[in-house]
Amino acid sequence: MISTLSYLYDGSFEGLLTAVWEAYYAKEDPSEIIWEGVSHPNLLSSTKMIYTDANKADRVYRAVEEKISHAALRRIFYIYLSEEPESGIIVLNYLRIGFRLGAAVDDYHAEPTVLKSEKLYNKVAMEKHRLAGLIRFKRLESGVFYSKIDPDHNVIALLAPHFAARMPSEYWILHDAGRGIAVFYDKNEWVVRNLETPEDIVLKEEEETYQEMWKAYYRHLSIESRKNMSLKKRMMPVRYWKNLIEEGIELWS
Amino acid sequence: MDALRKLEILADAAKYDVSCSSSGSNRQNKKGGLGNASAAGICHSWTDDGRCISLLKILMSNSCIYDCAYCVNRSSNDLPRATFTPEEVADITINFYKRNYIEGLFLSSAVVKSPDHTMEQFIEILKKLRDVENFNGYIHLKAIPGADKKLLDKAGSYADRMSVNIELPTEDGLRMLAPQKKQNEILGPMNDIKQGMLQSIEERKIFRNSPKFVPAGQTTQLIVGATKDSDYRILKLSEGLYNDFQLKRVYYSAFVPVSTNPLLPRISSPPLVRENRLYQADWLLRFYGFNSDELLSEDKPDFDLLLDPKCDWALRNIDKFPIEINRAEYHMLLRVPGIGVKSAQRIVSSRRFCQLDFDDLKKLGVVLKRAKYFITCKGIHSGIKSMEPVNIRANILGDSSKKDPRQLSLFDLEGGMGNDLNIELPV
Repeated sequence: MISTLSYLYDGSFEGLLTAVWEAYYAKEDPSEIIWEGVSHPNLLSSTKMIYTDANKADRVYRAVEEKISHAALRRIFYIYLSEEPESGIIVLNYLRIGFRLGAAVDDYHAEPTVLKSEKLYNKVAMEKHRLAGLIRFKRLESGVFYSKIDPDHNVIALLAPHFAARMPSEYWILHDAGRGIAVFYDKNEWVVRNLETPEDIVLKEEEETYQEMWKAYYRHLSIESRKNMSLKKRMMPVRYWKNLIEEGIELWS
Repeated sequence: MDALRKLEILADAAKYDVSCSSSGSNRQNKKGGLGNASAAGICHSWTDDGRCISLLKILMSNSCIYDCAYCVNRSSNDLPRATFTPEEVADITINFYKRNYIEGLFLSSAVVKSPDHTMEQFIEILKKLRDVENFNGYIHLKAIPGADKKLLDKAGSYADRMSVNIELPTEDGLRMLAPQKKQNEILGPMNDIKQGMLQSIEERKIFRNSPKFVPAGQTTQLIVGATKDSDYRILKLSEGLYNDFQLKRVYYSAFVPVSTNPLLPRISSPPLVRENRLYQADWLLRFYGFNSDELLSEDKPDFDLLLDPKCDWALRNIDKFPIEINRAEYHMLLRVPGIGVKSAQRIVSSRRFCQLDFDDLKKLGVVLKRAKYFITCKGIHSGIKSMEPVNIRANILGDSSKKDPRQLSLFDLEGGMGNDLNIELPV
């Protein structure tokens, strides 16, 4: 009987890096590294609990930066944020190759693990880029700009610096409703906190005017004789439409 | 008339300008200001025709003194007219920007009263946005042909990008359809913008804080299919614009019939496939090392509508193929149908680690269905036995005949992010 080893960690990035440290120093070859909250016990596999250790995580962090590259560090962080079940083991296997090849690892596109890591990184980067455009803020009565999104991956912290640079003089909230977390910006710095979906939201009076204008603008820009809905859906996947003013169901207007 | 109604009229009037790109500028926000520019550009939505919305693309006014036959805003056309005040444009831009609907403003206009007057109004709007409201998002401004150079210089110091639309590719076409316009009135401002950019770059080498002038460069638009001009003439013109005027982009716009003027061709739908072929060829000029004379000639002045320009070139140069993937130089990899810039780069970097086979190529993003006729991997050829162009052509067309003709070359959209036209790129 084949026995496999599963690492369970607490879901934090430090926890994942601790798991990498553990695999190296215990000379083990886990077949998966998963968040304890989603693990299902499996008769064929033994499990090992990884206890997050900031020192160990920090040593792995610095080793990646020094022995591979800063880009590799960003890649594993994005893969971690993907929250895909296989993200943990991809990080470990990618780093194993990275520690062998150094910064050149990202050029080795034909290597299956490197390719997987690249694809997962791209998925997260793509969603971040898309949402930088598809986020819609609504102005609340208090003057705060509020936006609700439902991303596939945990990208709000990646988006926060983008909006902090653009709207430094406004209060705004970026709410990942599915995960129940939000970025809060107070005209000085941003923080991530838990936030449940608010039950009723009061919009500023002017809000409706600009939403109407935006919808009118959107309608009038399309050229009927060039209509191509499949192209539109390819560029802007339908799953993002529900939070758009111009396409979505209006929740609070 | 309220701002909403004006917006409807003036967005409608601006929609035939295909450019909506917000790329090429990395303008930073200022203290207490609003907005910045993202060098890669960001799309905020897509219309039902699949084009990206990145900017608030409006005319300041559609009350035109000119009467160009191809243009929806021609003075003889009976349609509602409107003109925005500078305050209205600034207010909509800023409030759309804060709600993250847009990256900035694309401001164009019909010629109101005179070219100078129109440019002066533009400058009013730009001053209000940049100086009063401290807005640092993206601004694309249309230069009005025939306006004073001083006004152009002033406007250019506020804008990220400027463009002058050539619209009709030849002087003949212009004479016939837009008798009030002259080609040198169009090329004049293009040259002025180019000089302004060069001068600003020189000045900034000495004084780092000297103002930028149109940092995202200039673009233009050509209408395809309103005149009898061949693809060869259009592509030659584009090549000249890239080489002589250092344009960032030439946009092609399939002619949409907006009037029944007898001088205009009668067509039932815009020539979208032809437009797509021109974009593909344009990419081949800019990123693939081709020149226009390799793609077309006086004897073969138009593109094959069934086959993309690169495939067409490869079949006419079949003696250069097949090439060995593990040894071919980068510039030659780029010339293989089914291999794009990204996959060519990935082939070059991956083959340092190991010899590549067909499976690897697939993983790297090569479209084997098309490339297989033109390559070998470790000496193996997996195309068809014959290297006769007519046979390969038949096979390729057989593969794509099931598809919508507009998607004949539906491959990965490399560089697609921030790309305002979702065209199918040549690979």
